[in-house]
Amino acid sequence: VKNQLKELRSSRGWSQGALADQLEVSRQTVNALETGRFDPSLPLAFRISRLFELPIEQIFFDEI
Amino acid sequence: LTYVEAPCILGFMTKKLDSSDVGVSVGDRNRKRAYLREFIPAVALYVIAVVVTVTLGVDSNVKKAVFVVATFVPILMGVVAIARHLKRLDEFERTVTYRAMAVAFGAAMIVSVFIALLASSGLQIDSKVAAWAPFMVGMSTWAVLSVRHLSS
Repeated sequence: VKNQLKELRSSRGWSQGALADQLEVSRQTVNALETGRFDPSLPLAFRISRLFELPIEQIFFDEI
Repeated sequence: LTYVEAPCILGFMTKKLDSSDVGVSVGDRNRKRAYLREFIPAVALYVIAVVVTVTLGVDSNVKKAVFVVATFVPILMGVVAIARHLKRLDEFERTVTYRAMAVAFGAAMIVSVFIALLASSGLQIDSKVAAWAPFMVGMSTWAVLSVRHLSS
């Protein structure tokens, strides 16, 4: 699953650490999400969606 | 590290946030501190128990019993600290840690079976080496795999 997390974070001027604190996860987790090494659980995906005020499908999308 | 005030979007995050992409976030730091606060006393107590025992010697059954209890309590404290730390991890960290633990368990089992086979074949193996080798291999495998995944 690809995502726009890095672009969304950068557009708001947040660091990985800042985003991690807002999502209550570690900075490594944010890094792993941004680099595509880790796909979030649904609850985390919903938290990200609420934080950026965007539907999940606009943040995460299929790699095909 | 420099800090910026981040907007509180979800309502529960009014804190100064790390502005760099390296290092740790505020939450990371708090989790690490909580873990060290619980784990370091366990290690310190264990070291004290071992040093005191070695100094005094374990020449009687009473001293042996005291040694076992004195070292077991800090080990139990360490186990509790690790268990609480695992609960504090987020889903990615937990996945990486559990995967590393699974591989470490496999490595420890292989070493254990290897030593058992050597002993069965009649080879003299020091009992301390036989007891500690699986532990050392397991712990070092767990540590290396966890650090490798979480540091990238």
